[in-house]
Amino acid sequence: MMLRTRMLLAFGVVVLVPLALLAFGLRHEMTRRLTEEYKARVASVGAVIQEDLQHQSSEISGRLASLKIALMDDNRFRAGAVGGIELERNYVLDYAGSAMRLTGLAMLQIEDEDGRIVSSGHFRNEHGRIEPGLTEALAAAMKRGPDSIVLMTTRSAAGEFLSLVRSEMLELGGRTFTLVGGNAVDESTLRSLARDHAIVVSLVYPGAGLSSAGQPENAGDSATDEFEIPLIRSGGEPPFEVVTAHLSVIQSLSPLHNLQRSVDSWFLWTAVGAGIVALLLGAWLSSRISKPLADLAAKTAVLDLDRLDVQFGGGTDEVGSLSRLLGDLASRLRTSAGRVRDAERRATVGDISRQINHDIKNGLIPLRNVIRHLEQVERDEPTALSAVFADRRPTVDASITYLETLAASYQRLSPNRVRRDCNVNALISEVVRAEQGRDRAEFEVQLQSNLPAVSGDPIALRRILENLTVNAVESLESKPGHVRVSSETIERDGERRVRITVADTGRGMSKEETEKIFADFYTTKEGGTGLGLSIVRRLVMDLGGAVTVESERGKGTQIVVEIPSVSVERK
Amino acid sequence: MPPQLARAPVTPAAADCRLFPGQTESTEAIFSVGLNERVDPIHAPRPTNESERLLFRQLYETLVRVDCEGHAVPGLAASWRLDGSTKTWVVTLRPNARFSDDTPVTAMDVVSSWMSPDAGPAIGSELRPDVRRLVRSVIVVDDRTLEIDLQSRRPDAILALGHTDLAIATPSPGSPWPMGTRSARIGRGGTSVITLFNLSGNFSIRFPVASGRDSRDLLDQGVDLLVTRDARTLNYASTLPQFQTTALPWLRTHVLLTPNRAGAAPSFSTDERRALAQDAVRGEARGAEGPFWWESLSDCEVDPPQAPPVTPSAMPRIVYDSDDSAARELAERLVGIGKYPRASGLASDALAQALRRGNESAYILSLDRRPLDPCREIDALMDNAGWIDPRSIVPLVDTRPQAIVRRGRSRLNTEWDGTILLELRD
Repeated sequence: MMLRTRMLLAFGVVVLVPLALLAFGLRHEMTRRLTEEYKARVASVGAVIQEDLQHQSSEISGRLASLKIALMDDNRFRAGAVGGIELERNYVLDYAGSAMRLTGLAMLQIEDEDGRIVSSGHFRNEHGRIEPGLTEALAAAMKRGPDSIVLMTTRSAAGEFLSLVRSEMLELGGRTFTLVGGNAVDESTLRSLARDHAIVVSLVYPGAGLSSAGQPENAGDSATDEFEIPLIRSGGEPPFEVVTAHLSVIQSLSPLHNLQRSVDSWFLWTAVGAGIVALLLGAWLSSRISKPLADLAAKTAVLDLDRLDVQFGGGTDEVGSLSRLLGDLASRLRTSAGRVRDAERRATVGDISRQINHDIKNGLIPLRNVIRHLEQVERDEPTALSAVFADRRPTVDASITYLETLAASYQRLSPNRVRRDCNVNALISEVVRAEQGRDRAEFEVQLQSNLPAVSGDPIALRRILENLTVNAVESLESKPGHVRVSSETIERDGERRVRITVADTGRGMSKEETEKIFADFYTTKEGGTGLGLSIVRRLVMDLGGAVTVESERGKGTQIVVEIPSVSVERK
Repeated sequence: MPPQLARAPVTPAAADCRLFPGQTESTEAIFSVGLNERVDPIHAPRPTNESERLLFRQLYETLVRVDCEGHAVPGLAASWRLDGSTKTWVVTLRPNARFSDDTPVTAMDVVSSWMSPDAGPAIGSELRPDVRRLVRSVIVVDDRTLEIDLQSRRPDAILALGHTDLAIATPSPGSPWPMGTRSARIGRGGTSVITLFNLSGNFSIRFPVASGRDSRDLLDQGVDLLVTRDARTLNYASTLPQFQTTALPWLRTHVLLTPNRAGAAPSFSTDERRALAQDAVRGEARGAEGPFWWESLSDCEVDPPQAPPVTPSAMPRIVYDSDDSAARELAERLVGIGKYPRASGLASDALAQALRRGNESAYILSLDRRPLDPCREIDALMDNAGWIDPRSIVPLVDTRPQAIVRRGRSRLNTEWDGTILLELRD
């Protein structure tokens, strides 16, 4: 895994993990506290609702008590209900309706001891209906509900409705009448009990239910408080049955969930923002760290005995120190390489000396043999000296020629320290002009205009070019072929160089031959000394440059020489 | 026995239809009539409620009037006769018939009054739908003579010309009230108090309207006449010595209609009807007493009833007109005694739609007890609800209004439909 990737991951973990822990902790604590608050609030509202219902029940009881007193004083009612006076019949039938409106009740009925409805306020035309057992059911319900809260399903022409009821009994003319009155309990009642839209009050009893929210609330995800209320259900068999109604106070937790979703959303956006910032920061920091390292790696990758001129930067940080160390190392390597080259040169001089010794001996031995032969003829047969001399003359000439060639070759190994600005394009043109027309080579010259000058010995530079072009022409082996010579400026490691390329379409070389081509006395040509490219390499190195070769047998060879330009040289 | 229509009187009768015969009339120049319901001139001359009926009767005429004993008496027409060879009635307008702007009333004015507002002067084909229930065709013979072919072939068919749907009026430029042929006109003013003047200008009738208010307030405001069914108002009037009260005819019969889906409609004995009238209805009511007009429709072309919808309403109930207190009380009583599970009051339009659907358990309707043309009544009823079978109409109670009249105000005449006609003292 790359250093940059590791740094990015590390930054992400460092930023996001604590953020996630913080969000989780906040969310958990907020949920716990708000849920507890909701539960406490619901319990409080439930208690208040119970008090409200008790208060309403007491009020109903008080109104019925007042009505009882008025009824006992009412002679028309007595005459109609007890005395059976037909003239007062309608008065009795309408009595409950008038009394109900006066007392502000929503239901009122007066029934006799047989359970016969004598007058009904909420359902005027129900009179005469007999439903015994209401008094007993009321008594039973009151016992079940210690808080005197009793509900009753109440019949009306338009349907049933629920009411909070109380009862009062009175004696008239030896007959017992029961007043049953109450307030309607409907959705609006439950809403007024809830007081708050966030609180839902539901009343559920066997077979039916109502809620302040319109529909009975599903208490699945909510804070709930519940208490039981006895409810008298009418219209069944027996006519009145006491069942249990459950009044639930429900606080939906949806506000909490909304808050949680909001927190989650904020956390998500914060995490995304923090993550993006962390990644950008990590990318910036890692680039600050990895780029110098990558530069160092790139410079180090091109470091070679022939390329020890790489410049390493500096800096105050660790990478800068490393860069300086590598720079020092390269510097020491350059020094060592120089020494190695000196040693090599010295070794080469020794080798050359031995070779010269060997070659000169090879040239002198025939001469010595001819001289000894001539001395022997002069001594033994002076008259034949002339003929013998003529006979041996070719041997003498051949030896002299050999030695002259040898001398010329070794002369090329001599160093020359003259340095001045050289126009590479002019030299290329002169060399190519001299070689043009030789054998069947066809030259192609591509020279960059405004090519910078290089600093060096123009003779050595000419020798480099001559060697390369002669080798290229000779590689054609007198067959038709192309020799391309070009010059151009390149940038390498921040410095400007002049690149000279000599390419041919000659016979080319194998990989093994290519690896040895710059060795002294290695030649692939018949009659070659093996010093040509060896000398070229040394001359190029003397100019601070480098030489490379690419070759493929049967396709040709390309030799590239790169020499620092004058501007670089003078820096 | 309920009053019966007189059979085919073709000459004016002279029944004494005064509310208080023999009493002397005061000479006050202003008479005040209280109205309980809203009056809208756009309905004129065809009333939609009893208050409009009372007011419009003072302004508009029909060709014939039907007096309190059921006789046809001259209205806008002076005479009529049945053409011997056909079944066409030849009707002659009274010679001095004039609209309230003093323009003469012609036979063409009568026809125009019966035609659709956007129809041209063609005869017969453009009669309004409500007119077509009563009149097959009409031909103008001359300025004062019309030949009218009535739908009814009954001997008393001429009474149909007294139906308020055939009242004659003509538009009055610049006034919302069309002009009638009685010698009266409506004065300028609002809708809370409408004032009617006779053409001589020496007598006026004020109509204070108490729509939506307690009708006892009208008595306190000093009206001379108030027609009401409200028990509280009648009780209050009985405590006021300046008023006298008299009952008008039994005008309405409340009936129970039950779609013939499963089983027969509940039946009510005479005692049960009487008990309903006494215990359920607060206004004046009695157990419905026959014979009923829907029991003798042999002269009418009545289509056989259609089958009611098979699927009843999801909520079984008995429905009634929420503006009809007697209907409400009856419905509640039927629930109270366990005939139906619940009762619901519907607005008039909703009740008409419910009747058309026929998917309720039962309906309580108020029918005219003394229609001028029973064929027209059953046609109108079945046109709205084709499932109604006249044989299954169950009568429950009869109701009637009462007239509360200030003592000394005696120039009041009742007509067959119970409407009071005031003498305008021309």
